[in-house]
Amino acid sequence: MLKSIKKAIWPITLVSVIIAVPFFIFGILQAFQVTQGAMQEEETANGENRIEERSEEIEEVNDGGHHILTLGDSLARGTGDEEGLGFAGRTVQKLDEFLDVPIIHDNYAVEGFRISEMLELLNNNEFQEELQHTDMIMISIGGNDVRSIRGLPASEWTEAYQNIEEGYQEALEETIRRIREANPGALVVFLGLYNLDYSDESPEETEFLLRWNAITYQMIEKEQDFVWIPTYDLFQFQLTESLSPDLLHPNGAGYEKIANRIIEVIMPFFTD
Amino acid sequence: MSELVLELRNVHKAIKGKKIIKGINLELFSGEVLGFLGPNGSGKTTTLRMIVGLIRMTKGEVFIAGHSIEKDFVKAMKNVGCIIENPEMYDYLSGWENLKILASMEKGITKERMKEVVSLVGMEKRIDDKVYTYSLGMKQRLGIAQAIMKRPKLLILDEPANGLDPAGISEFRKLIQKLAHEESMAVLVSSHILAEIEMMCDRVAIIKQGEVVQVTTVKNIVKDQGIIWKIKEVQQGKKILEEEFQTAVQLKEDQTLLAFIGEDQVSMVNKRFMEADVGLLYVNKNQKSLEDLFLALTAGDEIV
Amino acid sequence: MKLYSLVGNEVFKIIMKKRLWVIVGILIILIGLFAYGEHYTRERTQSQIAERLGIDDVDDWREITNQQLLDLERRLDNPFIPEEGRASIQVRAEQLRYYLAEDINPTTFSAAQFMSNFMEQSIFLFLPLLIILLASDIVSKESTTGTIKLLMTRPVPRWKILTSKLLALTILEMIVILLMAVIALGISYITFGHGGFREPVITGFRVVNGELDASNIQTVSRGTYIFMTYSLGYIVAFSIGKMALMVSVLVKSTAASIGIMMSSLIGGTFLSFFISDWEITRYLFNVNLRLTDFLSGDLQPVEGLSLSFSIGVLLLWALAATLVAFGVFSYKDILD
Repeated sequence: MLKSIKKAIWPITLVSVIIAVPFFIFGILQAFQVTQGAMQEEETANGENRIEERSEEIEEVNDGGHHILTLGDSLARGTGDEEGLGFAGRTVQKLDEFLDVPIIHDNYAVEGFRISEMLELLNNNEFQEELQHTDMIMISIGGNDVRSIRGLPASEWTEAYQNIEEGYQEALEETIRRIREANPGALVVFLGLYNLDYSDESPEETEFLLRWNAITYQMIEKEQDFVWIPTYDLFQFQLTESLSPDLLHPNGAGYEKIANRIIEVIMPFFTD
Repeated sequence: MSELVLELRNVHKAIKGKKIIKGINLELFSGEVLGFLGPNGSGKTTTLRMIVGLIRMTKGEVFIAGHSIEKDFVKAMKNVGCIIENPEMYDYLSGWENLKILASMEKGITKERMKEVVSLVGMEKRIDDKVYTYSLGMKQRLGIAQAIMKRPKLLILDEPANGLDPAGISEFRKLIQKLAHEESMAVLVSSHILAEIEMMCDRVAIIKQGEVVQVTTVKNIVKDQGIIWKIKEVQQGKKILEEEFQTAVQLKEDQTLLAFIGEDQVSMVNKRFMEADVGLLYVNKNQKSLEDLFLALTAGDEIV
Repeated sequence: MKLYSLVGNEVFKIIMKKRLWVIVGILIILIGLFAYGEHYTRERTQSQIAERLGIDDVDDWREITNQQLLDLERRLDNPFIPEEGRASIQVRAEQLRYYLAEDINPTTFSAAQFMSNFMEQSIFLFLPLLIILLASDIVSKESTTGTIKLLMTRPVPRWKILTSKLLALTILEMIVILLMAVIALGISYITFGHGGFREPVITGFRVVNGELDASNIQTVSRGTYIFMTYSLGYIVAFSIGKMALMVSVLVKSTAASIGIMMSSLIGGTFLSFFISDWEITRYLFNVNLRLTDFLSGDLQPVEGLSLSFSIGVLLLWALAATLVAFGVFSYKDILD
């Protein structure tokens, strides 16, 4: 018994290695293919095609209908909404119910975007073209900027906040200028920030947030056809009911409230 | 009839510039047992290692059955079975597994032949046990088994009697002589047990400081064997031996006389001692004849 | 034909020497501990996540995953997202779709994930150590015990003896990799319960000018990914084994042989941290051991490496070591 096992050692070893060799060759070839893959060109071509198709589509609809753009961060994107619409999608839906003309809505928001990143997008030449054909632009931005101080020790908050605010103001001015350069007539809806904690546990953060909203409000409302939509009060007494499980983004109900307020404000602009 | 199996021609070895072997010439014929003798550090083991290719020589040539060990290693080694120094084996394997591994490296060693040599060295009962359970004697037997299983023309054994008990040594001696005389192997044995060499070997090569000092037949040595006389009048006895029998006489420390003289002459010497009344107590054959020969042959070097 | 039986002898000797079984023992103990540790941390983070999200059951993960997938899909409609962003959205969406389709909670750990993680964690230190353990005594032990004399007094040329040892080692290196795979699979299946071999894994990162280029990323199945990591592991085993063989030829004692290999393995890794901006560092074998990092996209400590460069360097080391081993082995005197 033991002897026959010993006799089998070498044949078994050899056979298992011979069986394994093709798999190892496969693995190594795969690894090479994956790290030096040649699918990049194909991808890029697809992306360009998409942009072209899209702009043709926009021009078609543009004659009789409305074109709406959404920019900014995850709120604009609609993260947390069970239906995936977000305030932008819901606003467009409601608008569609009231209006007879076709509406095309493009949502270019990216989760995690800060104002500087949005500005980069605005500076894109192709995007400038897209802006020209737009009737309304909805923007939610700044939340990720102001929240970035959270990673710092509390002692550095005041100074950090001031730096962020300075950069934000410049970027916001630039954003306004860019939009107006490309499209002097569009309605611009700019969302205010809500608080994540209305108790007085972190009074400093609340203070920054209020200051942020105030500055944004001032700068936005100075401009013709720019409107600032406050959300601070919307969440004040019903925070938990309005937030999604991540406790950061609104849920469907939260977005619905924002959309309702936007509709109320902008309706006259479309029905006139 | 007998063929030349091993030939060393002017073999030299230097390690790190130091000359260890200084030109050894040696011939060994089939059916012959050659004893290889030398003190530690004389170059005995180095020479054996050069014969089997473990050490490269700096100059000279070794031929085994006509094949040069350096130029034609494989053909030369086909004719050699050997144990170099200790009979090291894979001690985590059984004796049989060791033999199998070694047999697979040769051509034409059958299972039957392996069984035959196992019984020849008397290891049947323990051959399936792991080698680490073996005594030195058993390892030695296994070593001999692996060396002879391919029926080599040349068998090289380095200190083969190490670890064998007296009965084993006698068996082993018979085995070696049988191999040499019946299977006409040439056997090269190095040993420090001089009595063994004396009983086993046909010829003896004595090596000292890297040189073969003398190659001689055992018969010759036995013939030249020293005789010891214990007498009261030492100087007178010495004088008689030197003057009347023309032989070299050593006066040993224990006040005995040692002379190399044929056995036929011993009775004449004894008779003469009786006549001279030197007080003869006993006469004896020198038991350590080879050693004395060895000392006699090599002692001079140190003076020169 | 004769070489075949010589290699067979060597494989038999190594396996009978029980060193391989020591390696199996180490693997079982270590993989067991590793699996337990992963299981423990996963459970903890999972409960932390659940606590933070205010959910109390794992069923809620479907909702969140669905939400994330919806977000990603809508984001893909945006033509102005840069290409690398698009690619990473696509592969992430693919992953989420798999989790939903297979009903796998992405915060739990699968046997397949464990298998590939284990190789990724072992390839630069643990695997080389096992191979050193296996290879270091392959010649030196024969020198120590004197059995080298038995081998070298057979009618077999020395190069053939070393070749048989080299081939036996090459075969057993693969056996070690296979053992790692089998033991990791067995233990992780017991620990984590589900396979997950079809889970899409993100790979295809490239390092371009010292920066991670994700424009090329794609997904492969976890099963394929395991084949890739274990194959790359074999390349590491192959070259480390040849280096250990060389040291084993050069040094008489096994302990010294293991010591030399271990210190050059660990010392070289330290060295590469201190002089990482020196050009020549790239050619140390140590910095090229983390082959799986090229798949997972973890940046290398030394810039300018690519998969083919690293494999090339490792094979060059193996070749050089083999040449030295043959040179020394063929001509050395066996003095004691």
